[in-house]
Amino acid sequence: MKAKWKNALALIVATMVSSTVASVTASAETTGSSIPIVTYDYVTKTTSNSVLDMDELRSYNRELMTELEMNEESANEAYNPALMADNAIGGLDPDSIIPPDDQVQVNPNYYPYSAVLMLRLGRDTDNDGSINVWSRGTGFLEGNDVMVTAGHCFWSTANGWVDECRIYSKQNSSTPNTTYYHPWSWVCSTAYANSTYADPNFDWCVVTLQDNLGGTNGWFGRKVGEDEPSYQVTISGYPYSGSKSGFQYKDSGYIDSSTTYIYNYEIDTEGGQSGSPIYDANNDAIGVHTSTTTGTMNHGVRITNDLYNIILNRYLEGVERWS
Amino acid sequence: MILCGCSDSPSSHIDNKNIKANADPPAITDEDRSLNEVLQIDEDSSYDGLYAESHSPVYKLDDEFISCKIINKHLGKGFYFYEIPFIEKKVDGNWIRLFNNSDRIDNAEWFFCGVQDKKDISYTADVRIKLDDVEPEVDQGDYRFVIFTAENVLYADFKLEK
Repeated sequence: MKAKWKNALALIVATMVSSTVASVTASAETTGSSIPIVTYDYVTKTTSNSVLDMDELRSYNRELMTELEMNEESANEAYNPALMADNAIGGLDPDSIIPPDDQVQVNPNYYPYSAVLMLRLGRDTDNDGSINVWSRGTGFLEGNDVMVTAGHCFWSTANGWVDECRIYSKQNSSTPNTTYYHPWSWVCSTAYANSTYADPNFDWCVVTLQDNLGGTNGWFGRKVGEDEPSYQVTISGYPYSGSKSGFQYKDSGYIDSSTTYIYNYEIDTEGGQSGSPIYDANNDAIGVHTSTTTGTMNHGVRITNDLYNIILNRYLEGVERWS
Repeated sequence: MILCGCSDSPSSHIDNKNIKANADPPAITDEDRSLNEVLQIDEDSSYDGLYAESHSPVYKLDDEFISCKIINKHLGKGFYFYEIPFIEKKVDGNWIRLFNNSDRIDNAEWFFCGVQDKKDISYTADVRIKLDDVEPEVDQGDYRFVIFTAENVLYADFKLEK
């Protein structure tokens, strides 16, 4: 399977492979047309630092789309594999403002909730070969085998990468599904996953899975979100508080403000929902929920042009791999 | 006449005034204690077997990390702990909380320590602090880790030397 990968190695202009992430000074993705990324191979536990030439990546994506007989519109569309759809989430009624603290339980057997995944993350902090510390998170599908989540679900400057990642599909019970899935590899911005300073503007992670979960669960579309406030969106994910644990909850509302990299909103979220999709009425993801820092305001990273092209690249490679 | 004071002890820029410090984490709620059920690992009912131990009694100021082990003497019993360890310095006999400006500070959670399918061992977790994350910059002296668990607070002493 791996031999079929036609990934973007040609686009990497500098590569360093190491077992640990090197100390790298954080740099913004706006520096020139190249951005530093760090790729982690979950199977071999190997980290690679490299620089992506974004112009070449865009060009490569166009080549892939031509090869796959797709265009940018079809490549970015949300996909529902004929699952029952919940229109209440897909179509926000502009006349109905949902209160920001009003999370509603949803059915993950319905699309688009089927494309939201529960994560159980483990670390071997005492290096004895057994996972001994556990946390949680959320991810969302962006293609056949592409999942997007928050960078901090997988990385911390003090402890490095997670050692175990269990991905639960259509989880809908306080008892965990007996079947769970694993990543193959993931890519983060070096501005986040480095040993010096994890820049919250780049708190994202694009994961390639070992399985074609998107084929059965569907996936979100993607687009570079707009700047203006009053942007209507929904966030759906897996909180971890007792009565909600194991079940998926959503809330909808408005983007209150934004910076180049961050959306701010009062949409209700809880611990465990880091990595949830921020998506619009067309089920197009425009951001990744990351944190609550002040008062009632929650935050997520935006799908910027660069992140959009990285996700699109992984999506196209997944289509090529699984079609 | 101006008299200049001197001291044989090293001066410290850390005092108990104007120090930005980590606040205690929000208490874990019963509702938060669900991860052990998901993992099907027993949570300790008492937490009275927990203690913390610095990996080294002495660290150097230029060490990148300092680390501490949390140990539960009760075999096969898991426990919840706040993922960010705090650090305190002894100044004039008082412990002064410093600020661990971890990259996780905005996303900090209660983590669960336990090993699936192993009930005959003591569960332990290691926590680390990047010295560069600590504000204000540390100097030599007596310190302690402060670890919040679901039921109590653990301390582990260590020294920082040049």
